[in-house]
Amino acid sequence: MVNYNSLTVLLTVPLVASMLAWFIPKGIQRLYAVFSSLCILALTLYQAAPVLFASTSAAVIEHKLAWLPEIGVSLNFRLDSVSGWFVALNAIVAILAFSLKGVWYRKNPRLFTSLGFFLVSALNTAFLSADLIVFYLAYEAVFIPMIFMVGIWGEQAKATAVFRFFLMSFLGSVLMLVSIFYLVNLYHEQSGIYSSNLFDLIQATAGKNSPNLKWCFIGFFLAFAIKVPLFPFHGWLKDVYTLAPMPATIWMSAILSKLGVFGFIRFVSPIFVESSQGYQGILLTLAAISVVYAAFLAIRSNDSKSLLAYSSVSHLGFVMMGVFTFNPGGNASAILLSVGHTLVSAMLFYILHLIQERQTDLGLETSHGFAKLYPTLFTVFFIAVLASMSLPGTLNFAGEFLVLIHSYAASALCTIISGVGVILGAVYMLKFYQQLGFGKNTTVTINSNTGAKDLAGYDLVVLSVLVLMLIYFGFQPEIFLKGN
Amino acid sequence: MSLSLLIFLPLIGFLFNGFYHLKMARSEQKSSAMISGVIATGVMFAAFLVACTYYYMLSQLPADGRLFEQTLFQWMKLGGLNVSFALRLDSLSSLFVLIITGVGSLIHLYSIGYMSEDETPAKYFSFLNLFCFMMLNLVLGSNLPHVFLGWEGVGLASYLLIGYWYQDKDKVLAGQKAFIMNRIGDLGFLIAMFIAYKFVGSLDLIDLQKATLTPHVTTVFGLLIFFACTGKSAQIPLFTWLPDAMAGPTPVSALIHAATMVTSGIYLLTRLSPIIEASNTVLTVIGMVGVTTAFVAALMACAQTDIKKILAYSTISQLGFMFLACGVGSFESGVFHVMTHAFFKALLFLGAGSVIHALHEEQNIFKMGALRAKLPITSITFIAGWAAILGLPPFSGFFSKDEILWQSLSSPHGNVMLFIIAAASAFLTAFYMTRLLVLVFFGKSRVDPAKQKHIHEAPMTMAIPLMVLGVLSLVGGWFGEHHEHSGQEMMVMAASVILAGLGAGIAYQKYKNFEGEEKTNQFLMSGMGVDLAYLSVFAKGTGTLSKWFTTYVEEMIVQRTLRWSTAVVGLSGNLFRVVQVGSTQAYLMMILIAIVAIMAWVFLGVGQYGKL
Repeated sequence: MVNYNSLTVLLTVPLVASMLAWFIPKGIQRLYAVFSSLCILALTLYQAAPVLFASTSAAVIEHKLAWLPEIGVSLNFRLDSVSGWFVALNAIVAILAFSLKGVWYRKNPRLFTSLGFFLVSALNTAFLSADLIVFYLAYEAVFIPMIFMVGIWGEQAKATAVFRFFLMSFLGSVLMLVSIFYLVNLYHEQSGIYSSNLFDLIQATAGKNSPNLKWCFIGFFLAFAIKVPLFPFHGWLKDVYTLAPMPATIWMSAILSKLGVFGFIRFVSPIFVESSQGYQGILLTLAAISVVYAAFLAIRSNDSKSLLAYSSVSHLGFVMMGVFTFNPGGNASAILLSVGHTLVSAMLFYILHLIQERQTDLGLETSHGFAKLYPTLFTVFFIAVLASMSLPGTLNFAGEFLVLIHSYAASALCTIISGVGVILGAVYMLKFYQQLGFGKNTTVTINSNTGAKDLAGYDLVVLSVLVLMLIYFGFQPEIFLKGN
Repeated sequence: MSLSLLIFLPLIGFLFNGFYHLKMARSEQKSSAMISGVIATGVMFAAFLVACTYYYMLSQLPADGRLFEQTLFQWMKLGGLNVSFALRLDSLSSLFVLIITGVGSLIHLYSIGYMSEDETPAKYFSFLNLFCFMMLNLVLGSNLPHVFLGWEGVGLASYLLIGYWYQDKDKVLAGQKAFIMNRIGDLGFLIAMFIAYKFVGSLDLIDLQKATLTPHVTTVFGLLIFFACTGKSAQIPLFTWLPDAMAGPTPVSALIHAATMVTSGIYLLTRLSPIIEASNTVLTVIGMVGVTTAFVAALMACAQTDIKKILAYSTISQLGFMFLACGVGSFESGVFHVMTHAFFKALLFLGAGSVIHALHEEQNIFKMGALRAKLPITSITFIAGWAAILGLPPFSGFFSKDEILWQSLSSPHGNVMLFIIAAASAFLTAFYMTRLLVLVFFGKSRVDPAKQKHIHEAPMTMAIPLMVLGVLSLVGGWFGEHHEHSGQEMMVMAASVILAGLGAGIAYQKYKNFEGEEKTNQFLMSGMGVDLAYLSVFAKGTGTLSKWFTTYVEEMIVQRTLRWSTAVVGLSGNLFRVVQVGSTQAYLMMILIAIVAIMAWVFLGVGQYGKL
């Protein structure tokens, strides 16, 4: 039954890694986790190569297994130009998240590694599944490791934060589940067969525009809008991001948010063609407001982590501008910008953690002047800041530029409003960098655990690779666009 | 040989010095100004030789086919959009490339002496090379996104160099101000690109030059591009960053904030001149803004006491002249003034740097005086620069400035009002420059006695660039294209020389024996309060808005709604406190329970399909 030369290895291998973690000595959990996630990346690239490195966007790898045929649920995996890069990003983010040293490798390290790989597996299932029920299960399963990570290794006052996160997400996904049931039922009425396959459901809704479908659209919209998050559904985010342990923050901002982006492109826009077009004005407006509103909150933030959290929301607003164009060009640009956002936000949180390891006081009310102490670290940090501000020559510029050029055709006004975010982005990112890097280092509170060393060794290699990726793909984004 | 050498040479210099700096900084050693300076200057001089070769090769081509092009790779291709990374050299970009690499090499050379005492010279030179790389991309790019790459890139280099001494918070903030004001302009550039793509379907500069757009679109596009230019070229309303930018090292002010970057706006307008010219509204706005800036900034320059601030306002004013030229449709005379201004303003800044260097960081002109004898090379070359900016024949400024004055009167888009304001600005220019010259080099010495002894002439690396630029300021105007002068034009010429003489004479009389410090007009000195107004409206406004959003929208609405809904469910905390306690087994059990619960719930739901 199990065909190793198929997409299922992308789900099973991380799951095996998750179980194996319990048999690995506690002391080498980090080594094990990083090494395994590197293997998963290699495996992913190998498996997905025919799609990722194809010259057109038409290449697809499909794998179908019957699972519960009597109720129409199948294990139907599909790797194409939409899901391909998200799966690859998932593996990259896992490497970064597992690389950070911290309390999670001291307190219950096996549980941490195990949860992490479980998350990777669940995310891959969600990205690859072309069956909505299986997608839904994976989508819910993603919460479990997240909740535990925040609960166990997070900061104080976590119970409420976790609870809000859970509540918001759950609310959205319950509505999505109800919508899925409705769609399955609709298809059953038409064909007499139960199926939750994406393409069957697209067929079921093609050319239809009933009020019920609108409600279904809203169900899906809420689930994904909360996940991204899109204004005004971002309320849960700040507490969870800031209280979560750094690997969990990286996972959430870099890849979990993409689950929402992916959901819109994969499911919402093909299934609800009519509603999508009908609500396009509202959707673009919400995305534009997200960009500007979150940027204002970021300017106000005096805490590094919440500044980065809001900056992430602001940039995801740009991604959503591309998604809500509902055309292939806009969607391809949104995927491109998603790749940029994933790499940059993971990188910024990673760097923040490295600074935290060295210095205890990172408040943004005063300037710290750390750049003089850690020249290499702050050079890399600066490049990440520039990419985050979408400076031309970085991957994020290519993405943002292409997104906006497409959204301009859909709504000039929303594009111009979101353009203000380009200016505000410079305001808060420069403030962020300057307060940490510049000024005189009078407030040095060197963390005695790790000493005051500059960036070196493993971290230097990881961050250098990321910098090279941001610049290389900034000039060669073709691989993500494929002439769409 | 290939065009790409022009951009790769400075890029190599940037990377070399960047890594050299990091290597030394990591081991807390001082990098050598000599090694990094020679590399940086060497790559720039090599690029200058390449530029000269291309200039010659270009001149050998027939007049209507003077173009070299090299496509390096495809950059962004999506749907109908195809943006390539290609360099294109024609006579316009060739002139800019000569200025950037030529004046650039001289300023790099000067920096070796100027920065020899600095702690991180390799970092300085890497930024300087980065700037040249970006600036060359700006003028060589074949399409708007490529120009934009250079456009934002020079802004970045400018930010890094203004805040170069980053331990000083004020300098960092000056850099930040420059970057953000430029970004405000850049938004105009971005939107102009979106419009161009929507209505032309291409962002290639040649396609845009040929495009025919509706009058409405032409006007909007032209105004947006011009708005971007007011940021980069420090015109009203986005000019207030340039005086602050003087926080950077003086050679930086000479290169970036006088000779090259700030003239990008003229380049862009000239490049897009077919579209700009097609709208009278756009031309009128450019002309009005240009001439107003020229006049107002000249007034402000009269009230400054800091030698670099005077030159900064002077640059804004001279850029206003160039925009005036563009606004009356005479783009070539604007570009001509870019060139002569690059020579004499770079010279004046470097001369000022030499004075500041000699007086150990003294910048107040009322604490200088009678430096002529002690700084002979600096003072002679400075006088050449002074004569050029005044427009005294036969110095370079004479040719270019008179051309602009003449065009502002005689061109179909010109009028008497533009001419009168421009002539008044020329008069003010003569006044403030003579004031500066007399107070620094002539009259009585007001130098702090403690510093008096240590006054020394600049080293050779600094003196050579001064002398070369001095010669260029003298002869640079002869490079322009000459034409027959009508009688009327001769009158304009004579009038402007008389005005300059008058301004110079008045200033000389007033300041030749000046003692103590002048009480200047505070209103003019502070830039007519524009800066303060922006601070209270935009900077504070942004702060207030983010405060409102945070307290009223976020806290009172978004978070409160969330808190209430949490409370309504009534489980707040209690259930999840369990999560924090307990052992590994408990967690595992919870995972299991959660999975089973969700699965069961889903499949029970699936069983109910028929009833839905």
